[in-house]
Amino acid sequence: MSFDIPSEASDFLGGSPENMTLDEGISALAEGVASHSGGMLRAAALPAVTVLTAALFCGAAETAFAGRDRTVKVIPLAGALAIVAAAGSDLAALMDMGRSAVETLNSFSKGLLASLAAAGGVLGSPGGAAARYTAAMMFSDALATVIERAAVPALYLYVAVATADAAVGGDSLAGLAKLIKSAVTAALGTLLAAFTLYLALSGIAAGGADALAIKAAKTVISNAVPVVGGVLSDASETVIVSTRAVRSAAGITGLIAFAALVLPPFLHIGLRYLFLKLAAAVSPLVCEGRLSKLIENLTGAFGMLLGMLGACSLITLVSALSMISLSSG
Amino acid sequence: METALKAAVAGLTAVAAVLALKRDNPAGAFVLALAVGTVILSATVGIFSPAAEFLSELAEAAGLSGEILGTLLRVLAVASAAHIASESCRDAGERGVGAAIDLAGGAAALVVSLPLLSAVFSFLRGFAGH
Repeated sequence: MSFDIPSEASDFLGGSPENMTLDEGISALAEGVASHSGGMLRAAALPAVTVLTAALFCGAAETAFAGRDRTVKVIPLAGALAIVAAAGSDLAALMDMGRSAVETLNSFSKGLLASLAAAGGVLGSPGGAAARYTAAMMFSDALATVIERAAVPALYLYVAVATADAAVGGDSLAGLAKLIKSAVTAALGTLLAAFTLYLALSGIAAGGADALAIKAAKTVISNAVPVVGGVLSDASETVIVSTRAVRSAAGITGLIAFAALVLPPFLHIGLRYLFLKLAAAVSPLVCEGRLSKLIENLTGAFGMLLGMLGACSLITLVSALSMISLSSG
Repeated sequence: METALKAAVAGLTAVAAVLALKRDNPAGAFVLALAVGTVILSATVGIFSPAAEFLSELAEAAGLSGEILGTLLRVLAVASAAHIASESCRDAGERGVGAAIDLAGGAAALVVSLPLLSAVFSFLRGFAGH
């Protein structure tokens, strides 16, 4: 095996994925998820409960002092700051986790894809393997650059604008927050659309998969990954078609290691997203509209983070699968 | 429950006494209203101690600085005190004093909420890292 398995993957699986069969790998992944799920659920639920508690206190105070004097007007402002301070520290930690995961994934994928491209070359497709490797690296690097230089700063700006909107009130900045979110979605979506177009044009995504399986995968991805789920789902056919070709030991080890790398941050961020979404759904019952809207907007920030991680993961996965399909004939 | 019932009974009795006193001795009525309000507030503070303990446990479990929810509670306390004082002044016909207390309460609440603003800024400062 000519690529290194990151220690994070081995830690999650409880051992190295080398020499694991696909079934053993899936079983190790399921055990990893089960053993970490308690801590992950607790870590995801508590910030949402804190946010909801802050909203509840502000809502109760505003109801008690139904008035328009200056002191009462300070309550939603303090509530907005408390909610962002509570969710923000969590969001910052998850952004660090996401960034670290993307860096590890990039470094791992370079080794994995180079190894798979070499295998493709040995099996008689040197030109195709080199072209796919180059394209995968180009899209992967472009996506990492867009995320680091544009999407992450835009995420901070989005949170700042959403906070200001909740503090000032009157929906004066709601349009700007929406615009920032749309811009991030469009940037990630355009890059992924270009990648899927490349897959279609290069024939990697040629048909052959069960139509029902593709439809199910598209529905799952589209609903599971917020913000860019729709674009990601377009690449699901490639994943399904290429997964059939995964037979080589290197391919299986690579995919298990990839899943072990991606699953923990995905679960951490995804659970935060779900719990905050739940808090946003309940919040109109306990606080006024603008605080509730702020919680909804913060959910959008976690969604964008999830979308960024999903986009990076999918490019690596599809690239690896396309290399594997090449090396498997 | 018991505290709330006692507060309601004390409040209603005080209002009856204040109404009876108001015509002959408005200053005394005002002092009586303030005194009863203070007693009710003091009794109410005890209700919040389990809530404060819960918040402290929650913040600790969530790995959050207890300062966030603690600061929010301080802002609410300042807002409550200023609101009640300004409404009392308005009841006594002193709208100007009530407005001044409102202003002072708003300013004090803003100052008290500065740690929250600081926490938000420290998160947004991460923007500078990009």
